Amino acid sequence: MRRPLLIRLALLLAGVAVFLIGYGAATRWGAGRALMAGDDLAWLRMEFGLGEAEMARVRLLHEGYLPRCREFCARIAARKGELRAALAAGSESPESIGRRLEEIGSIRTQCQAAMLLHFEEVSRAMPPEQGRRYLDEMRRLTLDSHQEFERSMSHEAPGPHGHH
Amino acid sequence: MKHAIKDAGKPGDLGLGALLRESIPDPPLPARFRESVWRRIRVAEAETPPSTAWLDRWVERLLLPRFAIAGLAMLLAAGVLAGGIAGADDAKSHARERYLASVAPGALR
Repeated sequence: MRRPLLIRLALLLAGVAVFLIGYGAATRWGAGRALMAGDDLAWLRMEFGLGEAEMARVRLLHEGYLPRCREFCARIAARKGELRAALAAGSESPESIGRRLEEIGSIRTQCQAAMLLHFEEVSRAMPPEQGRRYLDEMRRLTLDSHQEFERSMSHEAPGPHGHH
Repeated sequence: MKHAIKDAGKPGDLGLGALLRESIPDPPLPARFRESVWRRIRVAEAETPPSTAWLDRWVERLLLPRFAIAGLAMLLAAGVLAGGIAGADDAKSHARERYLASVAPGALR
């Protein structure tokens, strides 16, 4: 009675082991391929099936956009550093802190505007249908960038008009 | 006596073999013995659940080398297929994150 049970169990284990070996090997192979790609734009090729000519146009736009993006990032990082120092020192008035926050917000807005412009340019370098899909996705990501944060805050707070 | 029994199978000792067989008492079988044996067999067969019966048949079949190899090959292929799909999704997800990190810095997302 016990022997058939052991045989079934052994068969089951052998089957599971073989399945897992195949699964693990294929997953590692896929991950290795992604690492080997080593390209910031690999996703555009994978997701939107762009050809060499389209990729070349997109790459040109991407490389032209990166210095602007880095400049915005550096400016935001510098202003945030100044704000942190001012808050740590506790020497500035609330109005001054507000001005610093507005300044950071203004640079962020400029950066987002530049991003949206870049995404539109990239979408025009793609076939129409793929370009539309790309632009929708990138607009959503750009405009909803703070959505999670705002949603979490609105759960904690009584609501935007809940003050008495 | 020991030698006589040992040699009973030899052609020359047919008479002795028959004598020995006759000397073994034939116990009387209980009434309706044959019928009760067949009834027990039928009951035992009926008690075997059909679900395990087909499983047993499959296990027996899978234990044959050609079926075992074919089964394992199918499982390996299924694993490779599932892993390939999962790996491709992972690769795409990593590539997407990489692209977004390059065009939309974390400060904005």
